[in-house]
Amino acid sequence: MPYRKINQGEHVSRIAKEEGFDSYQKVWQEPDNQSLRDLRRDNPNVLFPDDRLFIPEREQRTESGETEQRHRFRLKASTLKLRVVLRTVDGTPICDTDCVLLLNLERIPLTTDADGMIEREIPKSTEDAKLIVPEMDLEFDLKIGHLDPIDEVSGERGRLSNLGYFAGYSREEETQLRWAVEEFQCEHKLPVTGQYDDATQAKLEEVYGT
Amino acid sequence: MGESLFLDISGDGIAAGHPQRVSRPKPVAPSTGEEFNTIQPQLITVGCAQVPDHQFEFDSSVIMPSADKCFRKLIRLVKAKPGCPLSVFGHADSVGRDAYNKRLSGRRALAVYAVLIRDPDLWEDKLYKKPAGGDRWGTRSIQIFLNAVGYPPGPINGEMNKETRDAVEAFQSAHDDLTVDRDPGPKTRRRLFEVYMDMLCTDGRGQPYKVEKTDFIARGSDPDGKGDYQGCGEFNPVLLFSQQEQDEFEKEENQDARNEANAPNRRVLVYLFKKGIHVDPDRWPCPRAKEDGQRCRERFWSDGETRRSTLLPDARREFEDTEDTFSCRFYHGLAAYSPCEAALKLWVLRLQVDGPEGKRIALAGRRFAVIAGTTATAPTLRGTTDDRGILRIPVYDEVVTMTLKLDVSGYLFDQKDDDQSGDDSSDGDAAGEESQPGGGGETDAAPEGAWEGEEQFRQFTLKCGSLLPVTAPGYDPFKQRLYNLGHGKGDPGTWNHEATRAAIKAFQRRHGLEETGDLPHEIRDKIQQEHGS
Repeated sequence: MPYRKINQGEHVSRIAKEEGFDSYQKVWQEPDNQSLRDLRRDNPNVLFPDDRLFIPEREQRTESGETEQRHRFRLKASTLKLRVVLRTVDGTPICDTDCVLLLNLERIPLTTDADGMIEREIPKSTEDAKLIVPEMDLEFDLKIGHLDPIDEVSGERGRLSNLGYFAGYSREEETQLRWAVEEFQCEHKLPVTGQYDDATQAKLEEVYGT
Repeated sequence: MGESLFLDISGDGIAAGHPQRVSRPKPVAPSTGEEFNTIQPQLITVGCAQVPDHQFEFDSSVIMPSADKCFRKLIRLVKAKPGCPLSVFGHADSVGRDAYNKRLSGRRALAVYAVLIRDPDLWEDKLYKKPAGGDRWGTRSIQIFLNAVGYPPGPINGEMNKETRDAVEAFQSAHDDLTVDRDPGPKTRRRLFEVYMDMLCTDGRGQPYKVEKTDFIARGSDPDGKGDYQGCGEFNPVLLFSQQEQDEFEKEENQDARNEANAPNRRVLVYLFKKGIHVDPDRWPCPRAKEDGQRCRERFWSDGETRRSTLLPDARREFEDTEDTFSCRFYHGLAAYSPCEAALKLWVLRLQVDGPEGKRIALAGRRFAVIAGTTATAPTLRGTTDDRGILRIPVYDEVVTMTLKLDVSGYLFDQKDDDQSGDDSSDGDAAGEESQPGGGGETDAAPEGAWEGEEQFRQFTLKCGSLLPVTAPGYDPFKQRLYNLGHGKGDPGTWNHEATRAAIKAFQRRHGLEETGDLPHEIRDKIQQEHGS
């Protein structure tokens, strides 16, 4: 089984760990994954269902050491982070503010930085999290790994909705999506066309951060 | 069980909770590098209240005394949704210039805002002392207010005559802080405005009720109310005439008809937003009420001018049906799911039971709970039936099955299955309901939690839209109606010839008619009439 089909919510770090790799790079940088890297803009964390990821053979390394002695082997493992910028309903960054990240039943106290960002290393298998800003009465349920690529409609919807422009959930909600695109274009001084063109997509990537 | 629905359509205007969309988790990407996610809450409206055009003087921002009912409903809504900030939006029709309409709609929004925060100086400084076009408060407004607060000034004609001065004198005499000089000067006007505002805006018990400036979405932080109140001018009509109608209305002799037909477009809406949010007025897209519509245009849909245009369509367009009549995209986002803008579809049910001598008794003043939908999060509406045993249920598009739980204590029912079919009649017009005691409007605050003993209530399943029109072929539409009226057993769709005849006979018996079991036109009409649809 050299290829694995991607399911919703999966990303390379998670799969690499499941397949026994300590770093996602060992999978992602495989020459056989070149076309997927190109397709997904070299972002191993934003894949799309049915994408195919090549899984290489696990390398066998032999280290020699004398018996009856202690040896220390250091693995260079990759880390995975959750990075989120929080803003208020009118777009003001929520700076230097205490919040709580609920992760695998753990309550992790965090403070946003001067740009409103929280950053936290997370286990590669974590899918569900909750971010709470107690003093602003805000609570967000997060699905880690579920953001779709920016050139897919679901990825467009997801980013716009996360940015506060409700873009609808389903294919039928075309007006709602158009509404969100136009509001976004308007607020970012782009020509308001309702069309998700290259300039709009580039701006969305810049503003959203992924 | 989901949250409680709020709906008050008694009397005039409407106050309603908005159907809330299900909140879903936010999809985010993890990072192995510099990329990040940005999360900003959506600006969500949770409720609305409407002050219709005829609660203002024509072409004026003077609020009429009868608007008290609209304010009472709004206050019920505000109390039912504590911590939810407000913003006021005025709307005009498209008669006249954009700039004029923008200003008048802004002045009406300001007039409502001033009542809510109880600031008579806003009325005095920005409206009374600053006439704009046809909107001149003048002596006529003084007469209206004096009359409403119990000092009748004679005919309301805008003339400062002896009768009016007598009324002013009486008002001044009754208020210690005023000099009795028979002249409605600034101090007297201020007092009069205040007393009138207290009369207009009360809670369910008739006590004056005010809202704080900080209860609005921009917290009163802009001296000219940016964010807290604004006029949308003629940019967001709910009704657009066809080209043909428009041509007719352009004729001089049809001016009154045009004004009448345009009334739904002239309205003031107060929206409530999700609890706890507020905005920086500089980041709020709407211009101030006193500013022109240039900033509004920046927020137009890319086809915004087409949306409000009457030049294209050959048929009348209504927002409720087409959802494409608002030019302003920002406003569209706030109002799209609002029962106050898309005239609410209602299910009107009349509940009755068998009484002595074959009479039917209205189940009046009965407590009910309606669960709209079948999911665990389906919202619940609670209330009491009116004098005629009528209850009104707002119908949201996606809901087809509802459960009605009714307090039938004191009555015995035979056991049978209770699937009822109904049509979604869009009533909405509650004219003539005002004087009916026991209507929803007078009771304070709709109950939020379950009724006491609700688990004992009799349960009915209602299927929206499954009632066949009487014009449908065959006996089926009448079988459904007979069944809803309590005749026959089991699913009327499965009734055979004999079962149908038995149900018709039961109906005839109850009405003292010959029990033929036939269904001639007279009987059909009678069934339809009693069923109400």
